[in-house]
Amino acid sequence: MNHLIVELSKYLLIVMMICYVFCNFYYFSKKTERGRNYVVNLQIFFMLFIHFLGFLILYLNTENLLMLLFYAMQLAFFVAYLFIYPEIYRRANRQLVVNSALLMAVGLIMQTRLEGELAFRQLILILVAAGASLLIPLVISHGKQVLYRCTWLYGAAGLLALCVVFVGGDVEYGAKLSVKIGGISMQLSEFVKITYVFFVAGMLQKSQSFGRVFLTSVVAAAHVLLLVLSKDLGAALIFYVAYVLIIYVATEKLRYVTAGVGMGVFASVAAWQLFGHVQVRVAAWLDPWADITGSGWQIAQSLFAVGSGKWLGSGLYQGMPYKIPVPSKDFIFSAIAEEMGAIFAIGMILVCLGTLISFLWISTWMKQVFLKIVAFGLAAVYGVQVFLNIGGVLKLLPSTGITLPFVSYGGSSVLSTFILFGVMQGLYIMKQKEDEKVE
Amino acid sequence: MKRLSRSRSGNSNKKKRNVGKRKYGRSPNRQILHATYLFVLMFCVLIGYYGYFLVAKSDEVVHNPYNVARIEKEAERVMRGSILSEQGDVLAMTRRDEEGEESRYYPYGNLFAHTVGYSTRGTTGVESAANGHLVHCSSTVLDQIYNELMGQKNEGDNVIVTLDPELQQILDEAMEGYTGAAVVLEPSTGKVLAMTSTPDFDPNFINETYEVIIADDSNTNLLNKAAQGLYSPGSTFKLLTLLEYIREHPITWENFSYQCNGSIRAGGVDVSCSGGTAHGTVDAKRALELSCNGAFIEMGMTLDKKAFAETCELAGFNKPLSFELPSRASSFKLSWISSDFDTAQTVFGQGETEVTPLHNAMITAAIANGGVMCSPYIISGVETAQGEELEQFASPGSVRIMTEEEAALIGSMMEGVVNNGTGGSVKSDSYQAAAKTGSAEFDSESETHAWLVGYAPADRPSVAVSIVLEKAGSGGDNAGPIAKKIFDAKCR
Repeated sequence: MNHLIVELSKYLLIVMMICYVFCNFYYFSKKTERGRNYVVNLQIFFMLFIHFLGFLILYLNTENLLMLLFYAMQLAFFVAYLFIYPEIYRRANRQLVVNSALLMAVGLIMQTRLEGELAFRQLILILVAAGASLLIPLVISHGKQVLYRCTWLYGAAGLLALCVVFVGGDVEYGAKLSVKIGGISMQLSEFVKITYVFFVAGMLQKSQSFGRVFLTSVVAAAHVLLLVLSKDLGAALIFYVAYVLIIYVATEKLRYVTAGVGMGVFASVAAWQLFGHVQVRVAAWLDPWADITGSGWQIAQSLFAVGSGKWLGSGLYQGMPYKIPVPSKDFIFSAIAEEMGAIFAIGMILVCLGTLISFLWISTWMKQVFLKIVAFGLAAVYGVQVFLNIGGVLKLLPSTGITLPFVSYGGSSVLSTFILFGVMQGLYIMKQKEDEKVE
Repeated sequence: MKRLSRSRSGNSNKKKRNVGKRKYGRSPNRQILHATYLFVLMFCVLIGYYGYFLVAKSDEVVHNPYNVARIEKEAERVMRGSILSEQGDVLAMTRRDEEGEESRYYPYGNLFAHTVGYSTRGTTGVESAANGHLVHCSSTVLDQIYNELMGQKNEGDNVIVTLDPELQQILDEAMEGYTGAAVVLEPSTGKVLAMTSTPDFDPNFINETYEVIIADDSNTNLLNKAAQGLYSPGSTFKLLTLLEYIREHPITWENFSYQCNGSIRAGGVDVSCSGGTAHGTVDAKRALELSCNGAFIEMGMTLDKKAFAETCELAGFNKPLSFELPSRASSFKLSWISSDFDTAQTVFGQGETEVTPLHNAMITAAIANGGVMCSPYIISGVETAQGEELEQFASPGSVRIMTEEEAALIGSMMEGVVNNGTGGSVKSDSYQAAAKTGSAEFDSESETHAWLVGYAPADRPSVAVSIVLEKAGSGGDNAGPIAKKIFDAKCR
């Protein structure tokens, strides 16, 4: 009997994901607030059902009562998050709320399957981060008079943080990613992503003249250089690509983009020439099989997982995602692909895309230059990060060692993603308020 | 994006004042739209690549030796598929008793010991070469879902082999009592119709007998000598010597003449013809028919050794065969620095030349096939457990090793071997066979290895054989009758 339930749940999980993704895009076609609310309510139902099915399978496989307790804790959080948050912020974009909940729920299911203790810590981190970021929409809508004045503070803070990591960072998997502050390991580049976007927005709000762009580019390049020196190539790439896109939107000039891409290519070749670790990464990407026991091991294991999962997945606990080194962080997507299948995993990609489109949509509504660039910049950071992470684990791109927002394990990643979503919510809420005033 | 354009036009002045900050004269939403398109494109590429990877590349990636844990886990969830002949005979299957205990069963016992192999103590033969297919289920998704829901194992794919049980039976019965190996090929395709190596074993009992077999170093039961045994080719090699001679003397070869008095002195030693027989005056054709060593030494000493080595290497010497089962490469060691002794020995098939029965069959099949040598293959297809065809395989490649004219010429001389020479034992009234015998010396005290290579029917060859019998004596007398039974079966 258990077997039958587990197997049926596996397929039901996929069906629910398809329904969820459908609603995620159907939402955009709804013009009225009522219609949208209706679609989001459906999404909430599907999201909670996916979460339930995931833990049902986990429980039936392990028959561990702790699973039920853990599920209850998560459910309490999700219900609170999904229903109380829109109460506090009446004008919040509920679709962003449910999308973030879905990403976290799938992340928690997979992390629980991989390592229960880690998943528990992740839940604590989520609770802390959700609480800490609760005020951010308020800060955005009431503090924007202050926020747009602190340009150099953002720049200085970002560069300082990256310098701290470069000088005193702990080396993890060959790269300096984090520093210990008061006993807590922080991956500062996750937060610098946000100050960096604020800095660029602050710089370009007054004018988009050549001198201004040049000055901004110098500071942006300093960010990227520090990241490359710390071997945090993923973050370096996000900063660079997001910057080029921001410049395009802010200046509306294609020639800056051309120059930016040209310099990027030049810098990449230079980095490849200068840094051994870049060469290793590229070699492992081009042919992981040549050094499968060494530099190619992680990506090879990831491809084994994705390939074994096929379209329907092996089912939770039926695959071997634990063969991938540190599966719950950067390679969580491969683990999901193996056990929950490609259809489900592609659903995850589409949820991320839907979220990104919402972000971009919000940025089109912003009238003020500063806020527009902030909204677009954060959207670009999010989109590039998702693309690099999933492209990396599928070997479409070199693996760069960055997290999948809200899905991967990691406190800094969770907190910075909450901040990012919080800022976007703040902008959305502000816009809604303005619209209401006009009406 | 309707909303987008609305918001662009609906720029109210009131709001501008409220915020009081610098704004764009013209909203850069067009650029944001471009960026949106770019992101949508990027994500579509991501999803497209994912699908492409699953459809086109994942099978190869997953069957990596470093992924053995997952392969084994998948195998546990699949009931190993059957191995079938093209006619549908079951050569290997998995049986399940009432308690659900599975066992592998080989209905033909010893018959396919070396070709089909076994999977109960490691894997060998086709069981090893096609392992990925046998443990992989390609039934429809619905069937698989049904099986999973019912808690049943999925059925692995079936593998079809080129082997013909009827022919294999005839061959094995004829080989009874001999130690050796034989290969039967279809010349035009490279299909392995039968392959045997004696002594053999019963794969049904490999777990019980394995320790006993390997305890004795001298026995070769487990070795597939048809593909892995290297033998001196003896007089069967004269086909290649003759080919090279005709190539180097395209006009004058017909004038070749040699007076045989039973022995010749070459490279410092006396070489006698088989049994010391004096063949009298022979031309090239007659020399092949009678397998006259003296005449071939006379021909061979004139050859350009470098060109001869090239001819042999094109015919497959000194490089691994492309074949699904383990095989060894034949070797030909003559070069421009070789001594007269080595040269003389090599040209009539002694010396350091070594060949596998499989490779000798391939050369013979090439002559039968107008000069084109097809690489042999044994796995011809894969189908689902329900019998739906999934894949078909053909020869992995072919190479022209001689011109059509050369093949026809040598073939006609091989018919002469059957009609008027050493190959009389394969002569039949109902079809014309072509053959070359060999009796390879490997040490001076034992009997020679008996060889026979040949094909039939000569006008439209459907079968080529290569047989070697260890220490059996003359090729014509011992290997000939075995070849004749194969020819009879295929040329009725």
